[in-house]
Amino acid sequence: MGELAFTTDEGSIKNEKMRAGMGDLRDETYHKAGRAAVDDICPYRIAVLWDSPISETLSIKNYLEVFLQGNCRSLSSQNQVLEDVIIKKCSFLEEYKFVFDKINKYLWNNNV
Amino acid sequence: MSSKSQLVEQIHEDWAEEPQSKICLSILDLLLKLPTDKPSHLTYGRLRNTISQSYADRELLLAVQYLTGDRTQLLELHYELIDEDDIPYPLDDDSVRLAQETGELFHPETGSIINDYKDKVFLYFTPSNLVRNIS
Repeated sequence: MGELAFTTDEGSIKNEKMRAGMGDLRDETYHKAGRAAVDDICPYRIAVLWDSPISETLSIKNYLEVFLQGNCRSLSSQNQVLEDVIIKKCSFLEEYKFVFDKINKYLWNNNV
Repeated sequence: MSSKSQLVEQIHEDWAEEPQSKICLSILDLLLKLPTDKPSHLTYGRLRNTISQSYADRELLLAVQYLTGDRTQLLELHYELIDEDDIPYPLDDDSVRLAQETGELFHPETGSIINDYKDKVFLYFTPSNLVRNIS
């Protein structure tokens, strides 16, 4: 995970972002300590990154990104539907296919 | 002062086998988990996440209406303006009442008129003082 925006039960709004290639935000010390201190959070914007499946072939490190661009307002809405997904940093059909497979997998497992 | 078991009994009595029984109990559990010495701000989405996704919005709304009503008074209802920049501003009840009467809402900080204010005003909830006294 590269970006996460969420609200807490105490009314705060957080937006956290990792630099590309610096690992998973969920493992970052600051994030982990905060997350462990509260029961629950309400995420509304998430960026998920994967290594490109063809990075090795190209000898270039590339991170493919799926960005679910919700907003704080959507958490207060009674119609909580996110209809758009932004796919970033894909240059090749193989990369798009990789990302679509990921999206399909999580959609059908209902487990993001 | 009420005990949790009294409240659970009351909820069962009022809703019997209706989905609202379980919804209200889930929300009650959430309220009892919140630290009493900290402020709380619960959006509709937070309540939605607390209950099973199989419940319809209508069922949740009826439960929320019950929990904010005189019968239990566990939740307090508030309003906030969330502007185009996704920044929330709390609104006092009088501003919202006035907006409903006049059709105009003024920004709580800038004082400017909010266009299409009904699309930008949202509900949120806080535990009532009664929750603090549940034993």
